[in-house]
Amino acid sequence: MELVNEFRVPVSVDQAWEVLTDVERIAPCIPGAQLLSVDGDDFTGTVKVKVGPITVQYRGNASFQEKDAAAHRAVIKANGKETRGQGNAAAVVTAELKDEGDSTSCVLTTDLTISGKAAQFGRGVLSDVATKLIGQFAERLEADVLAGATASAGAETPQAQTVSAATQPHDVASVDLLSVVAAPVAKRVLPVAGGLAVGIAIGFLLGRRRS
Amino acid sequence: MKSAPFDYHRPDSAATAAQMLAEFGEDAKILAGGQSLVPMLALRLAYFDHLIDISGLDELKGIERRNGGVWIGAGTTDAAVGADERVCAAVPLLTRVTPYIGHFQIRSRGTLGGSIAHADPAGEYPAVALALDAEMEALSPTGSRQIPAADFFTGLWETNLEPDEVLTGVRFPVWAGRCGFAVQEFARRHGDFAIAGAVMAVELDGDDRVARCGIGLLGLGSTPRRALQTEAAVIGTPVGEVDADDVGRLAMTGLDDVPADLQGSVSYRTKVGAALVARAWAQATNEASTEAINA
Amino acid sequence: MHERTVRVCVNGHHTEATVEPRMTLADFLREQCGLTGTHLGCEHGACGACTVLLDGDAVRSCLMFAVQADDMEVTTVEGIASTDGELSPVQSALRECHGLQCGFCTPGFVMSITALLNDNPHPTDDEIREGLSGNFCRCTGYQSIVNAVHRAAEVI
Repeated sequence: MELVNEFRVPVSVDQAWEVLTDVERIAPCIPGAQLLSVDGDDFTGTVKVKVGPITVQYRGNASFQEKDAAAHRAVIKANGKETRGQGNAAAVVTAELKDEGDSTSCVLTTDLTISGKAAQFGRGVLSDVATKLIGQFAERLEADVLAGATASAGAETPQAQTVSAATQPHDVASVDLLSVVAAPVAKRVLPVAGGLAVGIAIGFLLGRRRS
Repeated sequence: MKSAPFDYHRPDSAATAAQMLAEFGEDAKILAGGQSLVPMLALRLAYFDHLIDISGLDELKGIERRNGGVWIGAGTTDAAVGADERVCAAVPLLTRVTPYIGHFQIRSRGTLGGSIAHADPAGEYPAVALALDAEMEALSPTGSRQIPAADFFTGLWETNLEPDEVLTGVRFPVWAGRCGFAVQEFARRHGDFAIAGAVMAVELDGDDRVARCGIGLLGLGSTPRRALQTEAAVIGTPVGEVDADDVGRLAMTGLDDVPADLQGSVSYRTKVGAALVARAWAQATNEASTEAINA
Repeated sequence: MHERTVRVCVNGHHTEATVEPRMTLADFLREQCGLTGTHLGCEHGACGACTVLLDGDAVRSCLMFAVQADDMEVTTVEGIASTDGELSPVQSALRECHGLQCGFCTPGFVMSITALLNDNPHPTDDEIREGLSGNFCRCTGYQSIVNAVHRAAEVI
């Protein structure tokens, strides 16, 4: 099934691409995600998703199939297996950034395949959870990373400098973020974790047949 | 299948339960009747290191008149709610919706608070709480607060309750005057989760105009829903001029996350929902019309 | 995790055992008490085969943990017939009206019907069907079970 989610960040499309393909900055923003290893364009990780009382954790891997900096488009393929169950999830996530002047919209189109228990559930919940996760991600991204990223990126462009000047107070936050992400992490984890998270999210809606 | 292992706690008060929640964090879950939680645990859809059993706490059981409403302790069983004469007289929607909750064996253990805190979008009590603007009472280690129903249901199986809060009771406002109430729910088998459902409360004034209206929808979103636009549209209109089918159709507009699953597609659920709202409207307004003006 | 001692009165007999909290009441009755009349059909509360009486109320024993039944009274199908083995009116009626074939669902029906008739001694057809909607039978097609309830109601 296909899921489409969108979020916005208040910087130019080039800066957005820069940040969103820099894993060190976005990894801590992904709710419940943990990167385990990196090997070039391939990486592994776990994502834990909570929907009410239900917690689903997937362990999986992901890799870039496409990365077009000029068109600001990336395609990630992700696979995950439940850590406490027999379900599987596979996702192909296409991330496209759209220039909106002072801000950028990011559209994620996810092609999702689920097996196991999760397969009996409809797209409504999946869609709900994906939207929520991506919403949380976007919030954290906007609040923590961008302010810090533009401030600490060393002002590559005059535009960045202007932004960083306005966001001085966030310097400390960004430093903390970077120090937290100490181990080498893969770049561009966002779309992958998004895909994994979506995959996980599908998990479990039993209940519909209850007595 | 069986649940994953957990440590079982039986606190002697709701306050202690809240403290335990604070102590154990997201690894803990409140266990009341267990009729929603235990299946999830048994099927390993959910797992917690600690279960905090509040099902035996007398302080959470009971039905009382309070502040112009009816207070029902969160630990009061569905069966007790459904059989209570005071509830029947003061909040008829609760009485009429109770038989739709699973089966009588489920209702012996399931609790009103559990149903509301679990917040299943097809749940009966959550929809009634929403339609009647009930207030949920929550207790945390730092104090208690009242949460209006409109703010309570925040997402699929999610509520406004903080991780260290225990739902202790729900206060349902009492509608007086020329009122009518109706419940219409559809499921493939009796006791199954509703494919769609409507709970309706209507009050007419002395001139047979709609004075007040509360329409709760279940199974038509990721949370119970309130058809606020429809309510606003009918208020002030003479009841004889309102077409039930129009009410049904209007109630289905603005529903942006109707579930689609093995039980039904979006269009199917919406059709069923419209029909149920129409029937509930007809039933409730009929009951209200026959109420004496001085009632 | 940490085991707990459970004290339950089952069919009039006081039983005590130390079990994991996650053991359901159904499993407790079957494994700890050796009372295998309570059956496990779906183990998630839908089929009714596990129905027992808890302090007189019909409940799903698969949806309760044994530790929750501490200090309570449980009645299983083994406790329905009289001590000299005479079948209860509900049990006799089910036999007379051929309300069972394989018998797997029957203990659940016996408990549910017993509870129903305690509350409503003269149910209508609709009330019976609604009341028993939480017990599934794959063999009989239910009509003979409904007949049995009417028959038991006459006798009680």
